[in-house]
Amino acid sequence: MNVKKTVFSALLCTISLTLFVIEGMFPPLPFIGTRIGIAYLPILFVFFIGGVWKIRDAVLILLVRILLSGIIQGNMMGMLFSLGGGVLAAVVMGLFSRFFKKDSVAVIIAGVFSALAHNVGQLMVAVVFYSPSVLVYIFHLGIIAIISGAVIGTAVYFLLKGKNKIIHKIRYCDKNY
Amino acid sequence: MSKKQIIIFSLIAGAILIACIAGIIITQNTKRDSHVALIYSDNVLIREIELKPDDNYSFEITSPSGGKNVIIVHEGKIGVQSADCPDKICVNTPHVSDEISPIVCMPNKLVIKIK
Repeated sequence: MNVKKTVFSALLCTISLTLFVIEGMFPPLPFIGTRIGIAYLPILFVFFIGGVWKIRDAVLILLVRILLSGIIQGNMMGMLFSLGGGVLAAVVMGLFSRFFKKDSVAVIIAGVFSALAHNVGQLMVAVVFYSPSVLVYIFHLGIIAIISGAVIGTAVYFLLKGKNKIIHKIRYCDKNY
Repeated sequence: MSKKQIIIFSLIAGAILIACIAGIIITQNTKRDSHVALIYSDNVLIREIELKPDDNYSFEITSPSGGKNVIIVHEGKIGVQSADCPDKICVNTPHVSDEISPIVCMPNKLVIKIK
């Protein structure tokens, strides 16, 4: 991991954290505990950017972001929820980026399914810490997950599709380009 | 990712979406029956009422200290219609049909919970 990659990792982690904080300032959606999940945009981006970025880099950025967001919010319960959802979402995103890396349409589908996995993970944590009756919300969460996952996946798809110099720089972390 | 795989995954996502919508409709329709309201006066369970969607009646509860609350059951919901307590918080609480929040009248020590 060279210096440039370290810096870009920190930058992407900060972007994710900032989006997480900004999202918390929005008025909450009508269903309990639902968020759009824009904080996952940079994570999904790293999973699918290719180049020198491996799956473990994306997982590392995600874990650091969850840890920092828990500290900033001062809410360890919220951190546990993020962790439960984040781990499952990372597994799904990792599988998709491992098997369909070349083609970037997979980003949108990975966005949808990782959002669904995130909600399943959060509900599992909620079942353990609260009561099984929260499972009623799985249908509301599922609908929101599919819509927001598709939106975020599409955003990352267009980010990666264009021939952008900055994206290229991040992808190869090489000063020759 | 080939076209076939894209179609398969989109179909799976669409199926989950439809299943979620169906799930919401089913849970909202089945939620109506089988709710039981528990009425506590001074922490003693004094009455259990099954909330049926087509029931429509009201009755009066007198607390040990003499306060009176008129409770109304209608359309599967339960609420306090009128009370002689000073603050009227219980009257102003929206009528409930699920277990999210109980109705409380502190001056008359009345609590209505839903199970």
